Amino acid sequence: MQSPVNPEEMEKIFQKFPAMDAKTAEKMVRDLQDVINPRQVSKDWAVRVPYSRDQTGGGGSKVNDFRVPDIVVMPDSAGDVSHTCQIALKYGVPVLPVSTGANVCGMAVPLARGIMIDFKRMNRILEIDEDGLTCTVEPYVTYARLQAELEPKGYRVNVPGAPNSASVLANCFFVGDKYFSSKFGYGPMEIMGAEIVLPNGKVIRTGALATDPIEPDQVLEYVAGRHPASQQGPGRVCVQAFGPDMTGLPYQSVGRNGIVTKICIKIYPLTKSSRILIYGFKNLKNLTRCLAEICSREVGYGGIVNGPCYSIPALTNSNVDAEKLMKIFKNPLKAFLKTFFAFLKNPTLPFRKPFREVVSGMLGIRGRNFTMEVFLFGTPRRVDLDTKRTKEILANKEFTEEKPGDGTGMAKHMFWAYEKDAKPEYIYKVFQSLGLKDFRLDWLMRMGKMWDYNEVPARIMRKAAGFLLQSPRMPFGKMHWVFEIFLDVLRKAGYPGIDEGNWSTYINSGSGAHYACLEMDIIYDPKSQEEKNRAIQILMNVTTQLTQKGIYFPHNIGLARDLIEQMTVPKIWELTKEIREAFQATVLGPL
Amino acid sequence: MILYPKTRSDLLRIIKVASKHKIALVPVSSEWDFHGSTVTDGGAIIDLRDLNRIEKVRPTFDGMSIDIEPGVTFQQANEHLRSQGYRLLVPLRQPPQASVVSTHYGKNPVLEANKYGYHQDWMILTYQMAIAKGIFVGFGSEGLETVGEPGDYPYSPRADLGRMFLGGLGSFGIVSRATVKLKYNPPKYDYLFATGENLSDLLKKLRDVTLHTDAGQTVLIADPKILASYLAKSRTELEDYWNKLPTWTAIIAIAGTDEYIQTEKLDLIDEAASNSLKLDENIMNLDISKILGPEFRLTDNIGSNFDLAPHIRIEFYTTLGRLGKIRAAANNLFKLHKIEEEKIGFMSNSIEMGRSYFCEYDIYYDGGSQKMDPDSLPNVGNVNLRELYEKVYKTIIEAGGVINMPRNPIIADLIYPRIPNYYEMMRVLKYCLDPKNIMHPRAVFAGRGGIEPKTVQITREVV
Amino acid sequence: MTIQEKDIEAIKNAALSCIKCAFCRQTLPSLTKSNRFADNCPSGLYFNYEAYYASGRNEIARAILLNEYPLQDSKQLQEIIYSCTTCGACEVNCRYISDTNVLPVRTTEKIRAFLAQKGMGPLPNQQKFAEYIKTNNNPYGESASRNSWVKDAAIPDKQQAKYLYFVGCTTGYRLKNVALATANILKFLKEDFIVSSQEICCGSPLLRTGQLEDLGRLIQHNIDLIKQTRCKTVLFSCAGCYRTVKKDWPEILGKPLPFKTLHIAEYLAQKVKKLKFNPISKKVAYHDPCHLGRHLFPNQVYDQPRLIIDRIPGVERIVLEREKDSTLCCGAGGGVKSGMPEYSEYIASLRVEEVRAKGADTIITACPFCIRGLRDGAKLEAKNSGLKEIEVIELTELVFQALEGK
Repeated sequence: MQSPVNPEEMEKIFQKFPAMDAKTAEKMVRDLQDVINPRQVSKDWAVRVPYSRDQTGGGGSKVNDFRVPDIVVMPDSAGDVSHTCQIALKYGVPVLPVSTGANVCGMAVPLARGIMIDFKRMNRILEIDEDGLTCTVEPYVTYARLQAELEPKGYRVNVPGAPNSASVLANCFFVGDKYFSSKFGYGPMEIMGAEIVLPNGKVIRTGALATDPIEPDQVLEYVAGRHPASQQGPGRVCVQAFGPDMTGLPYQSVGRNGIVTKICIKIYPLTKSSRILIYGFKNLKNLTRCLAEICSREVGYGGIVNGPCYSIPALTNSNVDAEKLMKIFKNPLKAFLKTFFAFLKNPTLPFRKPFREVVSGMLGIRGRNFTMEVFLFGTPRRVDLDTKRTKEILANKEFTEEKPGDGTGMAKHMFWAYEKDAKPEYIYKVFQSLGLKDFRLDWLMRMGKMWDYNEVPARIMRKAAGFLLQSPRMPFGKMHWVFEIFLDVLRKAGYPGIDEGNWSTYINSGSGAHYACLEMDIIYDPKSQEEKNRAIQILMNVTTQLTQKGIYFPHNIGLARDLIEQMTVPKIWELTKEIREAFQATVLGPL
Repeated sequence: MILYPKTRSDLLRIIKVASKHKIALVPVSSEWDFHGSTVTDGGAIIDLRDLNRIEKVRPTFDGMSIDIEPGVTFQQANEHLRSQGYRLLVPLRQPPQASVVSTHYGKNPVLEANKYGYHQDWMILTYQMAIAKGIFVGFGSEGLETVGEPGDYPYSPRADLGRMFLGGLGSFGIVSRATVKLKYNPPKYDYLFATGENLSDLLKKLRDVTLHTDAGQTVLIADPKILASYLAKSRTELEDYWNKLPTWTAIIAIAGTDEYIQTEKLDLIDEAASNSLKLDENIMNLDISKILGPEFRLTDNIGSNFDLAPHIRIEFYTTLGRLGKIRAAANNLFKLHKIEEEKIGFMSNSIEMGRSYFCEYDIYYDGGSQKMDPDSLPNVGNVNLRELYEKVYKTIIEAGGVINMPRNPIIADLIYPRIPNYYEMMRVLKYCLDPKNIMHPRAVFAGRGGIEPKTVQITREVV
Repeated sequence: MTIQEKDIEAIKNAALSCIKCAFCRQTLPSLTKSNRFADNCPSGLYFNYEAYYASGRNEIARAILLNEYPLQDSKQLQEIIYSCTTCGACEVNCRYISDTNVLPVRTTEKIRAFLAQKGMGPLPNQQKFAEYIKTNNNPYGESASRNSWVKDAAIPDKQQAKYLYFVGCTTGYRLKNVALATANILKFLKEDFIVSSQEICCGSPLLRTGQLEDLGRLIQHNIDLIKQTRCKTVLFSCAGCYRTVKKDWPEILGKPLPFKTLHIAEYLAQKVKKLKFNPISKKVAYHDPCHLGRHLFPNQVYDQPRLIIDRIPGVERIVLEREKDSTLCCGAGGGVKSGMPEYSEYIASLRVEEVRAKGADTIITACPFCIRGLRDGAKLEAKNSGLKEIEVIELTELVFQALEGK
């Protein structure tokens, strides 16, 4: 790593910008309203304040920690966005777009103030192309909405680890991991084209969105000659084009290199059969070795890993129930006694196959720190073969020294949407017999569709609702020692309950076994600024230590980003800076 | 002038000198190019064949990748990998002597695209490029300057620079090292075949079949002329195949263990039956499987068969829904120029279960060899091949075909005027990396170089 | 009654606990059936800015309580705070995700009370109905003497009974047919019930708009009345009254109610086996009133109305995409109908649009306030679409219409 930058540079990352003066704001609003509907441009403080936080909790405990934008614009089209950029450039004012604000790196907060572009009005699914298997959507289309439109047509989108209230466009461009990334890749591998408004207001269309034989570079509400929402005619071609692919410009920049107003992504056919397998591991190295093998051998759509602070809250409906379930997992005698007395009321229960499957599944993953979910999709024959292949990998001593716990019986009924003879009511019966009073059948039914309509990542925040993470990318082989460093940092910081499992992780392949993300999560009480500061400190500490050992962190939190990049990837930082200056992105996106 | 750097430092030194004296540099690795992308108008050729080190092979748990220099060929790499159970996916229509780096950096298609289409544009994970400034820049995790090994994550933190420069054909810089994805070497290949008179009908059925089964490494459809180029060892054999083979033949290649192959085969056959498509284990009693086998490991015949039937290649991408219109337009053009059917070959390779198709027209001419000067190409029908090349590409583009890589100024000038804002943006990028326009000026930018950006300096007040 | 310190602390904590998951802005992912019908925040749908969603109001509430900005400097603050219909769509999703009690509806109501105390609210029409309640014990400015319709229903004039049918202001003054239908069904079932002319407003309009001053009087009066009747159970037509009495009154009083409460839909579901129906040919969609559904978590009344409707032969019940927990509000609640009538009607028309898109020709609901809102919405929708107006009927009206042997 380069030696630390000079103190002046260091100061820059904490810089704060004052509010725009009233006169300038007034002038800018008028200029914006020349093109944009006046109701959709506002400098009212009550309209601006809500943009000061994103999923990281944004600034400090104060609302206006210098992170409130000066003006908010709600565009209807790329034309409105283009006009906004041109006005902003004229005044030298930053512009930041936001769709759902579900960003975990403080990037959806206007760190440099200026104009906030809120995409809520641009929420159309413009095209579902069944020939080229793509769809084209605007920024405010969420995964849930898109999946709901695709399913009746026999398609799916690759659902992310983020809650499905997240924007498809924003998640893909932030290189979001998806559940089936092992097969289909991360967001960028699925992006076939984009419409981008450059900082100078020019609109370009890239890749599959540029290949129509129509007037070049027109700013259109939807591509001319195509019918909105459903398309049976000639489709979009899924290759990177033309030559150097400018689709790469907005990646991970969250609107700071250019503002994306349309995205064309791949969609996939629904399969005839599916099955979700769950296995529990005590040792992360064993697990990642198996997972690397599963992903590299193209078994199903790959798999993911969850730590305890993910799994338990995900399965339960309240903190109280989560604590109960944790205790039960640790104390099987207690569990047995609880269920025994419950059976006295319903003696035929243990004789029923689904009940036994659920219980054996729970026993399978009991006491294991990590669970691995494997996603099998395909023809029935293929799903059966992949089930066999998975078991062979898990039984292979070359890959694992421990015998993984088999939670598949529980997975079958929990994720009822993926197995034909699933009986989710048995999950309910078992949980009720364990004394989980807040467990509701209707909520359980919702969770069963998790791999298509993901709500769980939001639910894992149930504990205290403060949630910060770092998510480096690396091959599977490094994860076990990287994670040990993370736990060590937590222990040294006095974080409570480390040995009791008060931590969490999430692992997902990005593309086969080539790279994966290892998410390190810290849960804190967001009402306590002290706890939040400590959480940030821990993560910075972890990031520094691991970067020095060659671990790559492509996402860094908001203000610290520039400094960390300058220190760790100096040549890329330098080149990117030059390119951003060339496009005047440094004016529109200084931080 | 031709330069042969022996090490990466040599490469950097050459670039520094070239930059100082404003000498254009054209990188060449293995000379296997059908579009003149390594032709130069003066300047110097940097022949990278001696930069052929295989630096590292990472097993599955460590990222399943290989670090190679640009001179490494598919043959060299796959021979090296065989004993470890890995392989590189072989390219479509490129011989084993082709450079791995320039094949993938040039966005050439892979043979097993039906299954691996998801990776087709992403075979290179990270790479290092020598740029006009005289420095190496690594993209993605390759750019991490720390003591440990950074892993192979493609995406740079603030923009996907790797993606933006990939396909530059040397116009942004010269790739000096790349990390490429490995796959496991399947124990066995097996094949199913289908034939038909009507291309659209056959393709449609095949698409439905593979889409609903997710089966098949490769689904390749070819007419007799192109299929023959995979099979024949001599001109006589070639002509024999031209006469014998069906109008259209589809090859579905399946790979894996016996059990895996059996599963996919049964799925394909069942699905084909419900689509009124007949799949056979052989065609016309020709033991094609035996011949095809080596082709999937190392595409030997493609290269060595060029001289049996010299041709120019017109390559494009399309979807099934567009193909009919494109072919109709191209056929009209061929008719207009009185080009006989025997002079035209066509093939199509499915990408990702029929999401898209790589298509190729081969236009055969008499005499000549691969290394002919483009300006000396003969006539076919009533038109010169060079002129025909441009006309066919124009027709295809206007009918909706996609050319993913403008491999020469002819194609570049057909594409970029249609997207002027995009092209302007590329040229600004070119200027950032190569203000003196020494890096392969002809490629992509057709000699025009970069545009100096106009920037406005604005200082904002801070607290 | 005034807003307390503990309320202020709760609001600040709620705002900090919001994780910005964006689940409050639309139907839950697992309940989303299409892009077209995935929005269920009325103010967000109409006004669009983040401020008009629960997550936005949380932040504004915090800014207000922390005194970050001068209240009067905002021209849109009132519109933002008073455009929430308090439907609870955000709250039900938030509860599903988080245990941290963000409870955005509560935040909105408390902030309204705070603004009212500061003289910054409510909206003029909302202030008007508070004045009416003060003088006439109803928000409509009608005569304080109520429930004269009982003479038409030939309901026995008693002072005590097993059930008190609490009619409510909207039913009593604006939808007397509903009151009549309810009373007639109770008579048909030979139920021991009374209706009192002494009942007064339950206080819901005041609570929802933060006008807390007169609340205590209303509650105490009604409690005393009910005690006098010695009724064990109070029956309600109006979902708004039901929710207010069942949930808000005990909280305000700080002790449980001295009687049970039951909505007429729950009551009818218990008795439905005793009822026989003549066939009615209708394609109906049931609209879940927010105060009968989401607001009553964990005891939402969703199944009972459906059970009743499904018992009527000839009635085909169409399932809407946004139903039960993900219902789109009728747009009338939270004081919005009087405060912002145009926006209220627009939301109602969207609901009617959904009903029509799904193929129903009639909307059934179990709240008189929803009836009023949806009828206005149906008129607007018919005008915009040029099609025949969708009928809106109350549940008890449907039941009485179909009742055999009445």
